[in-house]
Amino acid sequence: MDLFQSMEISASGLNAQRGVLNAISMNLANANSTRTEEGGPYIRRRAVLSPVALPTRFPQILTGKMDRESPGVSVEIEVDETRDHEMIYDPGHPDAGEDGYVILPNVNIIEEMVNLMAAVRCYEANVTAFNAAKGMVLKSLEIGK
Amino acid sequence: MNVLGKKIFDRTQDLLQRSMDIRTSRQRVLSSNIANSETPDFAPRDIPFEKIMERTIALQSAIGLKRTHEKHLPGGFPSEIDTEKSGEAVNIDQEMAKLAENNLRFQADVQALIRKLEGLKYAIEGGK
Repeated sequence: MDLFQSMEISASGLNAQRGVLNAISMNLANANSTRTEEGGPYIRRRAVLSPVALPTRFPQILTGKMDRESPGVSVEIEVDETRDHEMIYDPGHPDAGEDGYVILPNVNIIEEMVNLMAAVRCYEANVTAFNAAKGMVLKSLEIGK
Repeated sequence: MNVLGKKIFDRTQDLLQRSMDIRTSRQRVLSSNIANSETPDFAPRDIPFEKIMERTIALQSAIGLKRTHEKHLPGGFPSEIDTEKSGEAVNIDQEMAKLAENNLRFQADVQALIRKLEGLKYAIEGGK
């Protein structure tokens, strides 16, 4: 049934936005981490979203083509090395290089906060879509009562 | 449906049913747009409700197809509900507005169907 599929699509959206929130939380928590297991400062994580056809049920397979036209969404978290690291002069710091500079993570807190707000709004939009589908199912159960 | 059935359940029911079908499909497509609102290079899609409904009504008012052979496929509404591209990027406000509209109109369809059946029930019970 289309409405349950619609709920699954919204659920995939919720899941994806939670992934985005995870990446942002990681970045914020590590905004000042100058030491990691791999060595060097923490490197920003980035959530990459992509449309994905959801696993089909038999009726959808029968009607074909439906899924490509209304995909769900999937999220992957990858390391973002495209940004430059900031450096501060702090010779007393245990992670300072020989020149006295400490390499900071390439995290911009303001940017992360803005992304956080966008992700939360997106999450809410998906909740609304989910509730709309649920409301439609409940309403249609009233037919013939 | 036989002749008697056609008389009890008139074409309004068929149209309402069709309308609800389209609205559930549209809900699916709009959910997908909202889920993908942050996905790069995602083009939103939509279902042109009016266009499909017009086609349905045109088909319905055309002279009903008679099956002259039992192995012929029955005539009726095309079951496919096609989607079309509705823009280059997702506009979340627009999608939310469409979602709300679609949802309310679906509820209206259901309500109309319920009233229709209530009327039928009233008649069956002899206006009790």
